[in-house]
Amino acid sequence: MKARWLAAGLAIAGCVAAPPTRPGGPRVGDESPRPAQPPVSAPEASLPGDATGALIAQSRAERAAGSHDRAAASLERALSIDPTRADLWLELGEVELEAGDREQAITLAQKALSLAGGDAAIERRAAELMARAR
Amino acid sequence: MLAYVNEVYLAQDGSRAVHGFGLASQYYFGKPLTELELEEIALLVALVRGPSYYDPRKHPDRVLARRNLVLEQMAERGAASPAAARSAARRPLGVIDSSARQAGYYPAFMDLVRRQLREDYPDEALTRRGLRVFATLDPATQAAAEQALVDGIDRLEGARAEPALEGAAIVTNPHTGDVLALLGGRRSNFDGFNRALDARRQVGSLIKPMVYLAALESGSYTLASVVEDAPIDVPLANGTVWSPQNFGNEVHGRVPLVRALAESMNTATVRVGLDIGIDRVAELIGRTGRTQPPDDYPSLLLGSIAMTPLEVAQMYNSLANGGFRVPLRAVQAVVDGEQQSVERYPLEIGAAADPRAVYQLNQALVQVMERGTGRLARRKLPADLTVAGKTGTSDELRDSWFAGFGNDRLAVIWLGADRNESIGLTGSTGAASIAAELIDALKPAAYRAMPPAELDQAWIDYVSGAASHARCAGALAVPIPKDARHRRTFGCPGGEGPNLGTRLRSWLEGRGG
Repeated sequence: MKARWLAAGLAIAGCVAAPPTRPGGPRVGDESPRPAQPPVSAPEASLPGDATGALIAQSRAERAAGSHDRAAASLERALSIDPTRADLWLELGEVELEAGDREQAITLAQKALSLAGGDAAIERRAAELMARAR
Repeated sequence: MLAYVNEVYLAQDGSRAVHGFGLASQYYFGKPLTELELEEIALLVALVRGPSYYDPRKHPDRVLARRNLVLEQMAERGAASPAAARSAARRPLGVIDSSARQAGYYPAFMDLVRRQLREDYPDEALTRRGLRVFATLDPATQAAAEQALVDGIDRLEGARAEPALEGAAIVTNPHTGDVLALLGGRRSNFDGFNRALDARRQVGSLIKPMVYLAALESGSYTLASVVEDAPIDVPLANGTVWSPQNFGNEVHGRVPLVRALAESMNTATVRVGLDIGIDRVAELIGRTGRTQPPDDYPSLLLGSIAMTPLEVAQMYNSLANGGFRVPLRAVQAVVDGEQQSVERYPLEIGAAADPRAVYQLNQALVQVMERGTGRLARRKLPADLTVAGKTGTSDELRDSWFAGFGNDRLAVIWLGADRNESIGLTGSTGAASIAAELIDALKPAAYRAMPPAELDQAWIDYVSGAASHARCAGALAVPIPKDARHRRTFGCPGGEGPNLGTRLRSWLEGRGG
């Protein structure tokens, strides 16, 4: 019975609905709008105390183990907490250079420089990174 | 709202039939379509005629009459027995409280997630079990954006019924490009038309920072440059003449660049843009935001270009990020349980604009908030919360825009009507006031960029652009390149000494108070 009500309702709706003028953009699929799994919050939320420091340490360990992708991911997570720390951008640039991406390394050094605020040590490291990447 | 109707129309297209109704069913009754009672189905049908006019949470009486009319029609067509229809017509609307919505339900944001994933994954992979998505959404930011947008629209709409106001909001972390919040309409848990991604609307004055950034990048202008704000006739390729005017047809005469931008002067902007070349402005828009530069017709200088809120966010993100471009992303990583793999979406950074020019521009965008078109919104914020921003209004007040940022958050707000009618709001009276509520709730770090070493500071008179001094009334310090020519003075413009109020204030400040 409910299915029949619904069909009749849709027929009535069709009589009054406007023709399709759906704006551009891909059609969202028919699956439920909720993800199959809820988005998982990033793990830094559960890190105790100095989350940024812990992520830097983690990144260095991953880098030492030769896992550049993981090292970069850990630094990115640190950066999402502390996006204006020039040293984090520099370190990410160094990881990218080790992974072979010279162009990213240079841009990351420039980004670090833009946040250096006259810190001579940062400026020197950024210049070194750019020189090595060129 | 329009999209809701379209969803219903699509309803006749095979399996997508119940998509719009299915979500509406969850939204209004908190249960799937198959469990609806006759009167509840009739209510959804009634809504098709005008989801806003018949909004059951706002206009229960209107929708009740309409629902009962639908019930009569259903009985006439034999879809329901006259007795069932009569009994259904006596029941209440049965709509659940909108605050009873499910947590973790973010259709507009998930829309962006799906679109970004769709570039790399086939559809069937997205619905497969075991795919875990690490999304960039921050629920607290999303909740704040939702509250600011929904409350703001309700407040601005007030008692008037037409046209129904709609809106979109996006919040990012400009340094990483992470999208922290995204709303595609005032009904945030309703999976309808996603205005944040799909409403392509005229941006108006929101484009002006690109004109001034191109001017600063060219090296021919500084924030202290004095420009002419007076009517101008621009001959067009088609033989007609374009004569842009200021808001209210005001003429300000000679003004410093920083004031022309802060107060969003049209004729000064057109003069600067024509001088440096429209092609340069178009090229810069391509570099900072869109990948394809727009056509370089003169009206581009006043924002005749149409963009989606997400495209605007991408463009302003490059400003908030000090001239670096990072693609806005909703996904950080995808873990595929079946394939035992992790796909990361790494931060990709590129140079979009000269960081020194962007630093100067952003100081002017701070003055938009302190002295210009954003000052009303600025008053709602704590005095020490420096923010940079820009308002935008399209022709005939059809669109009200604001884009603004602190150190670690960028917010873009758009308001308009789905049928593109005039909404009677400027960027300043509409979107900026909502943005202020949002920024106040987010409590971002104040905008505080590191001045590049190549820049110096010049004191100018904000109104006239004449050389001034820190002690003078109306004086403003602006960054200028060290090699730029700038006259220095120890007196005040007009030959007067510092006024008493200013002297008193500098004396108090000198005491460290």
